[in-house]
Amino acid sequence: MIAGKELVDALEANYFEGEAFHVRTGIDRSECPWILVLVRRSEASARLFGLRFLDYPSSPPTLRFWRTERWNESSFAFDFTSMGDDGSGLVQSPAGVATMCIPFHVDYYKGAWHGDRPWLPEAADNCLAELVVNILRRA
Amino acid sequence: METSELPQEEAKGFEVTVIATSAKKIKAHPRELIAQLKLAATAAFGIPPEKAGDYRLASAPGDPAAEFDEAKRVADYHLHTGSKVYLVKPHTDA
Repeated sequence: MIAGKELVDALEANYFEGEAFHVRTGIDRSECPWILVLVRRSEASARLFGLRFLDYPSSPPTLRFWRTERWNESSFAFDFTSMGDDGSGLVQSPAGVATMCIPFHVDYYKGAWHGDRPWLPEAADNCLAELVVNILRRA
Repeated sequence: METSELPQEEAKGFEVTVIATSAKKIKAHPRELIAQLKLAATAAFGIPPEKAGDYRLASAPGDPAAEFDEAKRVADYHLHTGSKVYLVKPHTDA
């Protein structure tokens, strides 16, 4: 199973190619790989989200949404420990995170928000694929 | 398209790239049903046969219109060597 920078590079190559996507990837100070994706399907439809992989594949990734204007804010730090920007997801988690009500990201399970569709480390590739496809369906 | 009309290499079979986060090469044949190709793909990703029905193949991720009809054949979607197909859960309105 792929992990680390190879994982986010694979996500970029396999899911986020083409004019609709702008992508940044990296490894943070905690050595967690991350990927930021700006999806712009039209002038009226755009979404900015990020995935950070802390303890992957044992644990699901953190999913965050920010306002699309953040993409060009040079001083803005995409902090995955923040709540993201209000209204940038589709719902708010009980803890106040701007998110989507879809399985296989950390906040889906926090505070017993959902108990179905548990994260399966041995099937992390498939769980992550489902998460990404679900985000794209709603982005 | 009849198999006899296909280039020889493709009539014999060829490899497509199936993506479920990572990418795996799967042997395909123009006359093969999409359902058969999906079974090979799910097996390659360690998905047990009894769970294969939970998945579909698609030409693009996140687009319900891109999901393949499993009763059609590989040739119907003009798949060829190097074609990318995605292993996805079928779209629902939920």
